[in-house]
Amino acid sequence: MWLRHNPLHYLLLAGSLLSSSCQAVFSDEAFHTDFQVQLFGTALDPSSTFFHQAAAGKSGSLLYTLSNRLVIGAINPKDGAQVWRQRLGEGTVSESEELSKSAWLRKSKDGRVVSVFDKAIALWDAATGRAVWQYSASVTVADLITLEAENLLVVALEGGQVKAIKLESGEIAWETLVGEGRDVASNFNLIGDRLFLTLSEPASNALKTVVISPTTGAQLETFIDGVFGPSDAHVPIPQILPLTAFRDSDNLKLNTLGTKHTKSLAVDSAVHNYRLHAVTKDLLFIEYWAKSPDSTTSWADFYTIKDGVVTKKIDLPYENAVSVFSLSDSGSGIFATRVNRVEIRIYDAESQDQVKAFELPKMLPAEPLHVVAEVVKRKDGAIAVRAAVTLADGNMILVRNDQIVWTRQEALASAVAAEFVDVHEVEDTLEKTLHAEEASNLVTAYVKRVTRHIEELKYLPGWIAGFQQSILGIFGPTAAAEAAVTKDPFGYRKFVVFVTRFGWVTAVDTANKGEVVWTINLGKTKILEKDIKGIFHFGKGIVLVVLSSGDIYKIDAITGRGLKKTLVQILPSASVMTVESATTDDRWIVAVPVKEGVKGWFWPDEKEEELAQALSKTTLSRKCESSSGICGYTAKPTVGGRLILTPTWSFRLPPNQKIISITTRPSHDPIASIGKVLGDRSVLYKYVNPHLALLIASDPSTSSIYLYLLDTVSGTVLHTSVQTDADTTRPIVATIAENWYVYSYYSNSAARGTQLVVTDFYASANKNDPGRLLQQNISSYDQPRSSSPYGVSHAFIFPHPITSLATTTTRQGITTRAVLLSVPKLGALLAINKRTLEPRRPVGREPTAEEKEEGLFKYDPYLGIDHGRASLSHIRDLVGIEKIITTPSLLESTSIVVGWGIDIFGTRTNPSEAFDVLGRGFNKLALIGSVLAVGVGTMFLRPMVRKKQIGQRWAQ
Amino acid sequence: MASILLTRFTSLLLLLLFTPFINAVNVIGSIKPNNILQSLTLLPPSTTVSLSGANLAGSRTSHIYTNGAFKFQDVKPGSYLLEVNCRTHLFPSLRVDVSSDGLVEVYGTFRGNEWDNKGERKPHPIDISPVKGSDFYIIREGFNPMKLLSNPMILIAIVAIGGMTLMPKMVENMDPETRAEFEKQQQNSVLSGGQNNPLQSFDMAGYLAGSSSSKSQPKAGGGSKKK
Repeated sequence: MWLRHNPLHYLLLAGSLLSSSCQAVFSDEAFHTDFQVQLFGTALDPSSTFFHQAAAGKSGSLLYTLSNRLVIGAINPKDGAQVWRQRLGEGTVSESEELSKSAWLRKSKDGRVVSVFDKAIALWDAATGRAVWQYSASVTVADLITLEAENLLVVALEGGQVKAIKLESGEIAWETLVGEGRDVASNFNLIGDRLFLTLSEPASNALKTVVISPTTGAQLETFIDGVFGPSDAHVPIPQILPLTAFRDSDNLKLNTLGTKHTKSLAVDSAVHNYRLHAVTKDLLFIEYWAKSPDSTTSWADFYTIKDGVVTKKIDLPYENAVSVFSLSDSGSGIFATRVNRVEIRIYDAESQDQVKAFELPKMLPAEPLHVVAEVVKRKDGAIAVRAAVTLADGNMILVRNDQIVWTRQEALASAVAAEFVDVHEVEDTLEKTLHAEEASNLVTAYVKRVTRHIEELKYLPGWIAGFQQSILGIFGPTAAAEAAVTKDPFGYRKFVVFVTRFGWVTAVDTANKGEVVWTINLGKTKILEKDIKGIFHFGKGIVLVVLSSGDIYKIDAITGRGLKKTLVQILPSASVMTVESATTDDRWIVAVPVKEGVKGWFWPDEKEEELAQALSKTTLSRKCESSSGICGYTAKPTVGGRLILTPTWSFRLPPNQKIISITTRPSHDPIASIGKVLGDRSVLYKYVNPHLALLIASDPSTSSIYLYLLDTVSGTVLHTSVQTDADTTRPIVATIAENWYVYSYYSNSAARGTQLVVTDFYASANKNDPGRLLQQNISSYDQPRSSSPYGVSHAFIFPHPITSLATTTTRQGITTRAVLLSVPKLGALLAINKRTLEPRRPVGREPTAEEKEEGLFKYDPYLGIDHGRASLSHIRDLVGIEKIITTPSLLESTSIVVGWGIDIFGTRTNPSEAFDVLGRGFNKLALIGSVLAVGVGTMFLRPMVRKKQIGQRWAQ
Repeated sequence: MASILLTRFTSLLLLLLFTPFINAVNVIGSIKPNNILQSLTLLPPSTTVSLSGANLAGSRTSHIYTNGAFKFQDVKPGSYLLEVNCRTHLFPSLRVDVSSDGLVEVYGTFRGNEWDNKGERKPHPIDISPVKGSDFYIIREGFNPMKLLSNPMILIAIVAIGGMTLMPKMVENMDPETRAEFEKQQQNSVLSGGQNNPLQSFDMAGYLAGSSSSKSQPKAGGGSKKK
């Protein structure tokens, strides 16, 4: 009895069941056929990026950063490699601009770093990235400070609670409440052995400072320092300074702690922003920048603080360019580092003139956003600088003196859209010439062919050289084979084009470990997910990026050249889709506005007849006004790139239901077999319909989710299902392909946990009944109610939350599909074969012989994936994979999979094993060896046999 | 009046006394190394423990600390599923029930069964150890002579070949009478009688010897040596 309930038993059972039907990664292919671009995201704030010693007493420091994607971690400054990463928050916060106010990373003592995100505080081992302890406060954290002498981390919560946490154990040493909970805490300063906490009292417009004893937490003194009006705001200030800073619209006010002395610096409205830096308690450095559409200015000032009085010491020169500053003290003096797109200049705190300038080898691709630098003055007076610069394109570079040491493509962590581009498609000229030859008459075709062959002779030397290489390749992999892929006979090489929220378009190469091929700027400073209508593969290596503003960018995806930029007056809320001509290569994008009765648009506004023909066969559908359902339209192009839209159908949800997602079949989703042959040789015909859309709606009040399968041409509801006891706050994701869909949600029913539900659709419940499938002209319109598809469903319990689902696609659709799952809790991308997610698996009994023949095995509700075997990402730690995209390769067995979000992970997968290509394990040497051995054996045997035969005849 | 004040006071006192207990239920535990996980340093630093409640807001995640511990502060009363999210090792799932009086009960749980189907009760500071290591890779099977030899088909073939080579020698060593009988039997047997079968009459040896098969075949096949 005990054995029956042993969890290990369950796990092993599930693992053994799955090992047959899920493909693991071959050990010799791992790290060769897949790639991962490990990313942090763009460094958020200069105060959260710093060089810090990983372990106390060790020389050499690592670069620590906190990114806009809430990833903290360490980078090796020598080569830009990742040392460790941790994600602070689960949620997507990339859209939030106020992030820097609630998330920081700070140095602590003894090789530790401390992170704060909203209410969570965590202390991390700086060398390994393991948590030392975590503490979650009840309110948002306002500020914290490490007290080295007391071995405490003191945390001020916004409501005025102050807690001291022991650095060693994470236990509370003392706690106190400042201002009876009425005040708003802002920041700590440590002066000597007195801890100052600045608060504002909103009720009385007072700026207040409380002095706290670091050892006991006793409140020693309270000062009212001045007026803190409702329009004032606190300004982050280095904790080492005996000052607190706040601002109103025209002034930056610096209050000397514990006094009423406030220095006001006039900062006029032209000044865009400023940052305060300090490394010692008597020197304040403020950088300013003013940005306007036509000019940018930046400058900086040094101030001294003596006896609580702030006086300006030096002002560094104005510059009509964006330059950013960093203040550093690495034992050989205080230096300010100024970086702009062309050079790095070093200033000391003594004069206006630079002490050293390094010109960069080439102009930086974008303006710098912020910089952290370390300046060392050697004994001979030579100055060396190391600067980690975050650029406006979202990337980070490390500059050592006048050299760019490395570039991290961190902007890709902020991608908002991605699309595959087929590199092959551009190279299919041979196919075209062959077709041209076929079309022309015999003589010209012959002449053409001969000239083509003569022309092709020029490739012969190269081919011979390559042949030699491939012969050598037989005797073990050569170094050249591992390097960049030049030829690509199997179509593994695809470009993935990303649009990042920094307004750049970047392409990475799947065949070359995700290396960036090209990157271009769209000329927009910030693109959010809502700003982008889509990125469309427009055939022949062309991508279109369409923004809500109506900007259309046509980009040659192979070279990264911007081809065309046009502005179409589309409404921001319009739905944009592509229409392909059935007969020619033409494509258009069409925009359907959300408002009823408004004309749509199409682009390019040419070849209207072809477009009219292409549109006559389809219905355009989009979310209805106020997102209450889906509406379908027929469209007719008119002059000037406008579309006349006629509503044909609408599917509206009940008022309490909210659309979660609309999923349609992938654009490339061939169905190789229209039926499924059963064990008794009868056929169950699939429900084949290219116009399927799965609409998932939720009703939080009843904890239910509703699934509607629609025909997008006629608007017919083909199938509905309801799941009660669903948690509508957790992710609900779906994928649809062929004649089935799979979705995942969190169920609070008796079998609690994430559930994965698969539904297959057949033309009929009866065997050998093709329904209307074999009829000549089936149309979505003449669909009788009785012919609605027959759905079969199975639900599985999955141990972890799933945030993204996708399906593999192959060229012909013969290969079994695999369902791809992004499981962030495991940091893995899993693949489950559709054979496992098969709704016809027998329940509660062993399969019969016929079912076994069909490949069915007993249903087990717990899909206890042995996630090792199911994992496409094997040992890799994937962070924040949010979307999975797939595309076929030229091999039927292989689908190319790319997951993106923060990291970019790409691999190729063979759900039915590599049946059409030799694996890496194929031993060419052994093959040739055995052929030779047989040949040699024959040579040996020949005289022997002949001798024996002759002998036999003589003996007769 | 005084009594009302007193009751108020006592209720306040009670509230004060019990509030910290009710609010501050901590679920704590640690990962213990065993023979599957030799050392805690082998766990990926991204390993977390999650406590999933009825909705996302009531669910928490804790990292594994350097000493293997994990901690969930201020867990509200309810029934939770505790799971270790680890890529490299598989851990059992546990059910954690936090009652409103601050009692924490830990049970084993069986995924895919009803939630009320509890397993054995476990002590509260939870000690959890992996039950299995993840096995990510398939090793491609190369050529292995020993494996080949252990294949029964190959063994049968070897025995057959051995028999074929040994048979003539055995026949030679037989006494003349038995030999004659044996040869007679051989002639009558199906194997040697298939002279009409073109496949059997194919002279493999002659083909290998390179003799012109078209000529030698009828000779060798219908060789009539035994006529």
